Amino acid sequence: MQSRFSDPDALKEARKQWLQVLVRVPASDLIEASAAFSFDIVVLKAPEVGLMMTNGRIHSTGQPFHLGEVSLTRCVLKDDLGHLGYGHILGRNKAQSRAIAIFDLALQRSDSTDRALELLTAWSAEIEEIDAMEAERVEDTRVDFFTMVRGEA
Amino acid sequence: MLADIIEAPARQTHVMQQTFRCTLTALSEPLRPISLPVIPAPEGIDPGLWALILTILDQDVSVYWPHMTDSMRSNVLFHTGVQIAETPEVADWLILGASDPDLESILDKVSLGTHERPDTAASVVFLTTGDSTDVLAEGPGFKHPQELKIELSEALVYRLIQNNQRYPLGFDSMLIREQTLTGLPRSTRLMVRTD
Repeated sequence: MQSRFSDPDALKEARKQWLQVLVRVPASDLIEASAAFSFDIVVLKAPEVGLMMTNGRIHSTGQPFHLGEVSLTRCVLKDDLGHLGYGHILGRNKAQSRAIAIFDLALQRSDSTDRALELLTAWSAEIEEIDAMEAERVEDTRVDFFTMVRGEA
Repeated sequence: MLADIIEAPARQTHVMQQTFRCTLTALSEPLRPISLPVIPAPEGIDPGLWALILTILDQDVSVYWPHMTDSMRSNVLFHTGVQIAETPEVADWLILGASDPDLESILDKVSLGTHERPDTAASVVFLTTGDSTDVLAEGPGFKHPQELKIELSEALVYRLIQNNQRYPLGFDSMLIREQTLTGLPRSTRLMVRTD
Protein backbone atom coordinates (compact mmCIF):
# COMPACT_ATOMS: atom_id res chain seq x y z
CA MET A 1 0.00 0.00 0.00
CA GLN A 2 1.64 3.22 -1.07
CA SER A 3 1.39 6.46 -2.91
CA ARG A 4 0.99 6.54 -6.70
CA PHE A 5 2.73 9.85 -7.17
CA SER A 6 6.19 10.79 -6.00
CA ASP A 7 6.45 13.89 -8.16
CA PRO A 8 4.22 16.75 -6.91
CA ASP A 9 3.91 18.24 -10.41
CA ALA A 10 2.68 14.96 -11.86
CA LEU A 11 0.12 14.75 -9.05
CA LYS A 12 -1.01 18.31 -9.71
CA GLU A 13 -1.63 17.59 -13.41
CA ALA A 14 -3.37 14.28 -12.81
CA ARG A 15 -5.47 15.73 -10.01
CA LYS A 16 -6.64 18.57 -12.23
CA GLN A 17 -8.01 15.96 -14.67
CA TRP A 18 -9.87 13.88 -12.13
CA LEU A 19 -11.28 16.79 -10.13
CA GLN A 20 -12.68 18.23 -13.36
CA VAL A 21 -14.66 15.02 -13.81
CA LEU A 22 -15.61 14.50 -10.14
CA VAL A 23 -17.27 17.90 -9.71
CA ARG A 24 -19.65 17.08 -12.57
CA VAL A 25 -20.71 13.64 -11.37
CA PRO A 26 -24.24 13.62 -9.85
CA ALA A 27 -23.90 14.04 -6.07
CA SER A 28 -25.91 10.94 -5.16
CA ASP A 29 -23.77 8.61 -7.33
CA LEU A 30 -20.59 10.09 -5.94
CA ILE A 31 -21.68 9.82 -2.31
CA GLU A 32 -22.81 6.23 -2.76
CA ALA A 33 -19.59 5.22 -4.51
CA SER A 34 -17.35 6.93 -1.97
CA ALA A 35 -18.81 4.79 0.84
CA ALA A 36 -17.04 1.75 -0.64
CA PHE A 37 -13.54 2.95 0.25
CA SER A 38 -12.40 1.71 3.61
CA PHE A 39 -9.06 3.39 4.26
CA ASP A 40 -8.68 5.45 7.45
CA ILE A 41 -9.29 9.16 7.13
CA VAL A 42 -8.84 12.14 9.40
CA VAL A 43 -11.03 15.18 8.81
CA LEU A 44 -8.63 18.15 8.70
CA LYS A 45 -11.29 20.64 7.69
CA ALA A 46 -14.86 19.43 8.10
CA PRO A 47 -17.13 20.34 5.15
CA GLU A 48 -18.01 24.01 5.49
CA VAL A 49 -20.04 26.38 3.37
CA GLY A 50 -18.70 29.79 2.43
CA LEU A 51 -18.89 32.44 -0.25
CA MET A 52 -16.55 33.07 -3.12
CA MET A 53 -16.44 36.09 -5.42
CA THR A 54 -16.57 35.16 -9.11
CA ASN A 55 -15.01 37.35 -11.78
CA GLY A 56 -16.30 37.81 -15.30
CA ARG A 57 -15.03 39.45 -18.50
CA ILE A 58 -17.32 40.83 -21.20
CA HIS A 59 -16.72 38.77 -24.35
CA SER A 60 -14.01 37.01 -22.33
CA THR A 61 -11.51 39.70 -23.37
CA GLY A 62 -12.72 42.82 -21.51
CA GLN A 63 -11.68 44.13 -18.11
CA PRO A 64 -12.45 41.66 -15.33
CA PHE A 65 -15.36 42.66 -13.09
CA HIS A 66 -17.00 41.11 -10.03
CA LEU A 67 -19.89 39.04 -11.28
CA GLY A 68 -21.24 38.15 -7.87
CA GLU A 69 -20.78 35.81 -4.96
CA VAL A 70 -21.47 32.11 -5.20
CA SER A 71 -21.73 29.63 -2.37
CA LEU A 72 -18.91 27.17 -2.14
CA THR A 73 -18.43 24.09 0.03
CA ARG A 74 -15.00 22.75 0.86
CA CYS A 75 -13.61 19.82 2.77
CA VAL A 76 -10.05 18.61 3.39
CA LEU A 77 -9.26 15.07 4.50
CA LYS A 78 -6.04 13.24 5.28
CA ASP A 79 -5.40 9.50 5.01
CA ASP A 80 -3.07 7.24 7.00
CA LEU A 81 -0.29 7.72 4.41
CA GLY A 82 -0.33 11.49 4.85
CA HIS A 83 -2.06 12.33 1.55
CA LEU A 84 -4.40 15.28 1.47
CA GLY A 85 -7.74 14.99 -0.27
CA TYR A 86 -9.53 18.17 -1.31
CA GLY A 87 -13.18 18.59 -2.21
CA HIS A 88 -14.36 22.00 -3.41
CA ILE A 89 -17.75 22.38 -5.07
CA LEU A 90 -20.15 25.14 -5.96
CA GLY A 91 -23.29 24.93 -3.88
CA ARG A 92 -24.02 23.76 -0.38
CA ASN A 93 -23.87 19.97 -0.56
CA LYS A 94 -21.50 19.03 2.27
CA ALA A 95 -21.73 15.28 1.65
CA GLN A 96 -20.76 15.81 -1.98
CA SER A 97 -17.67 17.84 -1.13
CA ARG A 98 -16.63 15.15 1.35
CA ALA A 99 -17.17 12.44 -1.27
CA ILE A 100 -14.95 14.32 -3.74
CA ALA A 101 -12.25 14.60 -1.08
CA ILE A 102 -12.47 10.82 -0.48
CA PHE A 103 -12.09 10.15 -4.20
CA ASP A 104 -9.19 12.59 -4.34
CA LEU A 105 -7.50 10.46 -1.66
CA ALA A 106 -8.47 7.16 -3.30
CA LEU A 107 -6.90 8.21 -6.59
CA GLN A 108 -3.59 8.98 -4.85
CA ARG A 109 -3.32 5.57 -3.12
CA SER A 110 -2.23 2.47 -4.96
CA ASP A 111 -4.59 0.17 -3.00
CA SER A 112 -7.80 1.89 -4.03
CA THR A 113 -6.85 3.34 -7.40
CA ASP A 114 -8.20 0.51 -9.57
CA ARG A 115 -11.74 0.81 -8.28
CA ALA A 116 -11.64 4.63 -8.33
CA LEU A 117 -10.17 4.79 -11.82
CA GLU A 118 -12.78 2.37 -13.12
CA LEU A 119 -15.58 4.62 -11.86
CA LEU A 120 -13.79 7.73 -13.05
CA THR A 121 -13.41 6.36 -16.59
CA ALA A 122 -17.10 5.47 -16.74
CA TRP A 123 -18.12 8.89 -15.45
CA SER A 124 -15.83 10.81 -17.78
CA ALA A 125 -17.23 8.82 -20.74
CA GLU A 126 -20.76 9.76 -19.65
CA ILE A 127 -19.82 13.40 -19.30
CA GLU A 128 -18.15 13.43 -22.71
CA GLU A 129 -21.30 11.94 -24.20
CA ILE A 130 -23.46 14.62 -22.58
CA ASP A 131 -21.11 17.34 -23.81
CA ALA A 132 -21.17 15.91 -27.35
CA MET A 133 -24.97 15.80 -27.36
CA GLU A 134 -25.14 19.37 -26.12
CA ALA A 135 -22.64 20.53 -28.77
CA GLU A 136 -24.70 18.79 -31.46
CA ARG A 137 -27.92 20.39 -30.22
CA VAL A 138 -26.35 23.86 -30.24
CA GLU A 139 -24.76 23.30 -33.65
CA ASP A 140 -28.22 22.82 -35.23
CA THR A 141 -29.25 26.35 -34.34
CA ARG A 142 -25.97 28.02 -35.24
CA VAL A 143 -26.19 31.19 -37.30
CA ASP A 144 -23.12 32.41 -39.18
CA PHE A 145 -23.24 36.17 -39.26
CA PHE A 146 -21.49 38.00 -42.07
CA THR A 147 -21.41 41.60 -43.19
CA MET A 148 -22.01 42.67 -46.78
CA VAL A 149 -19.10 44.74 -48.07
CA ARG A 150 -20.41 48.22 -48.71
CA GLY A 151 -19.86 49.87 -52.04
CA GLU A 152 -17.96 52.96 -50.89
CA ALA A 153 -14.89 51.03 -49.65
CA MET B 1 5.70 16.85 6.49
CA LEU B 2 2.08 16.68 5.37
CA ALA B 3 1.64 13.85 7.86
CA ASP B 4 2.09 16.34 10.74
CA ILE B 5 -0.86 18.53 9.80
CA ILE B 6 -3.44 18.55 12.58
CA GLU B 7 -7.20 18.80 12.40
CA ALA B 8 -8.94 22.16 12.45
CA PRO B 9 -10.73 22.78 15.78
CA ALA B 10 -14.35 21.75 16.01
CA ARG B 11 -16.74 24.66 15.30
CA GLN B 12 -13.78 26.65 14.02
CA THR B 13 -15.68 29.80 13.08
CA HIS B 14 -17.13 30.05 16.57
CA VAL B 15 -13.73 29.60 18.24
CA MET B 16 -12.16 32.19 15.93
CA GLN B 17 -14.90 34.70 16.73
CA GLN B 18 -14.31 34.17 20.45
CA THR B 19 -10.57 34.63 19.99
CA PHE B 20 -11.08 37.78 17.94
CA ARG B 21 -13.29 39.20 20.69
CA CYS B 22 -10.55 38.35 23.24
CA THR B 23 -7.94 40.09 21.07
CA LEU B 24 -10.01 43.27 20.81
CA THR B 25 -10.55 43.23 24.58
CA ALA B 26 -6.85 42.65 25.21
CA LEU B 27 -5.87 45.67 23.10
CA SER B 28 -8.56 47.95 24.55
CA GLU B 29 -7.73 47.00 28.14
CA PRO B 30 -3.92 46.90 28.03
CA LEU B 31 -2.05 44.58 30.39
CA ARG B 32 -5.19 42.76 31.56
CA PRO B 33 -4.59 39.02 31.04
CA ILE B 34 -7.35 37.46 28.93
CA SER B 35 -7.96 33.71 28.63
CA LEU B 36 -8.13 32.42 25.07
CA PRO B 37 -10.25 29.41 24.01
CA VAL B 38 -8.57 26.03 24.51
CA ILE B 39 -8.05 24.16 21.23
CA PRO B 40 -5.74 21.34 20.14
CA ALA B 41 -2.51 22.80 18.76
CA PRO B 42 0.36 21.43 16.67
CA GLU B 43 3.54 20.39 18.42
CA GLY B 44 5.71 23.34 19.37
CA ILE B 45 2.88 25.88 19.39
CA ASP B 46 1.01 26.86 22.57
CA PRO B 47 -2.78 26.42 22.31
CA GLY B 48 -3.36 30.14 22.96
CA LEU B 49 -0.91 31.11 20.24
CA TRP B 50 -2.51 28.62 17.84
CA ALA B 51 -5.98 30.12 18.45
CA LEU B 52 -4.52 33.58 17.78
CA ILE B 53 -2.73 32.38 14.62
CA LEU B 54 -5.90 30.86 13.18
CA THR B 55 -7.77 34.08 13.93
CA ILE B 56 -5.44 36.82 12.77
CA LEU B 57 -3.36 35.32 9.96
CA ASP B 58 -4.68 34.86 6.42
CA GLN B 59 -3.58 35.17 2.77
CA ASP B 60 -3.59 38.98 2.92
CA VAL B 61 -0.89 39.35 5.57
CA SER B 62 2.68 38.19 6.09
CA VAL B 63 4.32 36.81 9.20
CA TYR B 64 7.95 36.70 10.32
CA TRP B 65 8.63 33.81 12.67
CA PRO B 66 12.33 33.03 12.97
CA HIS B 67 12.10 29.86 15.06
CA MET B 68 9.53 27.89 13.11
CA THR B 69 10.12 24.17 12.59
CA ASP B 70 9.06 22.46 9.35
CA SER B 71 6.04 20.87 10.99
CA MET B 72 4.95 24.22 12.48
CA ARG B 73 5.43 25.85 9.09
CA SER B 74 3.33 23.28 7.22
CA ASN B 75 0.52 23.58 9.79
CA VAL B 76 0.53 27.37 9.68
CA LEU B 77 0.56 27.39 5.87
CA PHE B 78 -2.16 24.76 5.56
CA HIS B 79 -4.56 26.32 8.05
CA THR B 80 -4.06 30.03 7.30
CA GLY B 81 -2.46 30.40 3.84
CA VAL B 82 -0.41 33.27 5.30
CA GLN B 83 2.66 34.61 3.45
CA ILE B 84 5.92 33.87 5.23
CA ALA B 85 8.15 36.95 5.38
CA GLU B 86 11.87 36.28 5.09
CA THR B 87 12.88 39.54 6.77
CA PRO B 88 11.31 41.46 9.67
CA GLU B 89 11.08 44.72 7.67
CA VAL B 90 8.32 43.48 5.37
CA ALA B 91 6.24 41.51 7.89
CA ASP B 92 2.78 42.58 9.08
CA TRP B 93 3.00 40.22 12.03
CA LEU B 94 6.03 38.98 13.97
CA ILE B 95 6.08 36.10 16.40
CA LEU B 96 9.14 36.35 18.62
CA GLY B 97 10.40 34.70 21.77
CA ALA B 98 10.63 37.31 24.55
CA SER B 99 14.03 35.96 25.61
CA ASP B 100 15.37 35.58 22.08
CA PRO B 101 18.98 36.91 21.97
CA ASP B 102 18.40 38.57 18.55
CA LEU B 103 15.25 40.32 19.75
CA GLU B 104 16.75 43.83 19.93
CA SER B 105 18.11 43.73 16.39
CA ILE B 106 14.82 42.33 15.02
CA LEU B 107 12.71 44.98 16.80
CA ASP B 108 14.92 47.71 15.29
CA LYS B 109 13.82 46.56 11.84
CA VAL B 110 10.08 46.20 12.51
CA SER B 111 7.78 48.41 10.43
CA LEU B 112 6.52 51.34 12.51
CA GLY B 113 4.14 52.72 9.88
CA THR B 114 4.31 56.18 8.35
CA HIS B 115 2.83 59.48 9.50
CA GLU B 116 0.29 59.26 6.68
CA ARG B 117 -0.55 55.62 7.46
CA PRO B 118 0.37 54.73 11.06
CA ASP B 119 -2.00 51.76 10.75
CA THR B 120 0.44 50.00 8.43
CA ALA B 121 2.79 49.34 11.37
CA ALA B 122 3.52 45.74 12.28
CA SER B 123 2.18 43.92 15.32
CA VAL B 124 4.49 41.81 17.45
CA VAL B 125 3.47 38.71 19.39
CA PHE B 126 5.91 38.01 22.22
CA LEU B 127 6.08 34.48 23.59
CA THR B 128 6.84 35.22 27.23
CA THR B 129 8.96 32.95 29.37
CA GLY B 130 8.39 34.03 32.97
CA ASP B 131 10.44 37.20 33.36
CA SER B 132 8.60 39.90 35.20
CA THR B 133 9.03 43.65 35.64
CA ASP B 134 7.09 46.06 37.86
CA VAL B 135 5.71 48.96 35.87
CA LEU B 136 3.43 51.95 36.16
CA ALA B 137 1.12 52.02 33.16
CA GLU B 138 -1.17 54.75 31.84
CA GLY B 139 -2.80 55.80 28.61
CA PRO B 140 -5.95 54.86 26.69
CA GLY B 141 -7.73 52.03 28.50
CA PHE B 142 -6.56 53.12 31.98
CA LYS B 143 -8.74 55.35 34.11
CA HIS B 144 -5.83 56.08 36.47
CA PRO B 145 -2.15 55.20 36.25
CA GLN B 146 -1.86 51.62 37.46
CA GLU B 147 0.90 49.65 39.13
CA LEU B 148 1.22 46.33 37.35
CA LYS B 149 3.56 43.48 36.63
CA ILE B 150 4.46 42.86 33.02
CA GLU B 151 5.81 39.48 31.91
CA LEU B 152 8.83 40.84 30.09
CA SER B 153 12.44 41.52 31.00
CA GLU B 154 13.39 45.03 32.10
CA ALA B 155 15.51 45.56 28.96
CA LEU B 156 12.53 44.73 26.77
CA VAL B 157 10.26 47.05 28.77
CA TYR B 158 12.72 49.88 28.13
CA ARG B 159 12.62 49.00 24.44
CA LEU B 160 8.79 49.23 24.53
CA ILE B 161 8.98 52.61 26.30
CA GLN B 162 11.13 53.80 23.37
CA ASN B 163 8.47 52.43 21.02
CA ASN B 164 5.77 54.48 22.78
CA GLN B 165 7.82 57.68 22.46
CA ARG B 166 7.43 57.60 18.67
CA TYR B 167 3.62 57.52 18.94
CA PRO B 168 1.56 57.56 16.67
CA LEU B 169 4.24 55.48 14.98
CA GLY B 170 5.33 52.21 16.54
CA PHE B 171 4.34 48.57 16.72
CA ASP B 172 1.57 47.06 18.84
CA SER B 173 2.47 44.15 21.07
CA MET B 174 0.69 41.10 22.37
CA LEU B 175 2.08 38.82 25.04
CA ILE B 176 1.19 35.16 24.99
CA ARG B 177 1.85 32.50 27.55
CA GLU B 178 0.03 29.16 27.27
CA GLN B 179 -3.65 30.21 27.27
CA THR B 180 -3.26 33.83 28.28
CA LEU B 181 -3.15 36.85 26.03
CA THR B 182 -2.11 40.30 27.23
CA GLY B 183 -2.37 43.28 24.92
CA LEU B 184 0.08 46.18 24.92
CA PRO B 185 -0.77 48.72 22.20
CA ARG B 186 1.75 51.36 21.22
CA SER B 187 -0.35 54.00 23.02
CA THR B 188 0.33 52.61 26.51
CA ARG B 189 2.87 54.66 28.45
CA LEU B 190 5.04 52.58 30.77
CA MET B 191 7.44 53.52 33.55
CA VAL B 192 9.68 50.98 35.24
CA ARG B 193 9.13 51.05 39.01
CA THR B 194 12.31 50.83 41.01
CA ASP B 195 10.84 51.32 44.51
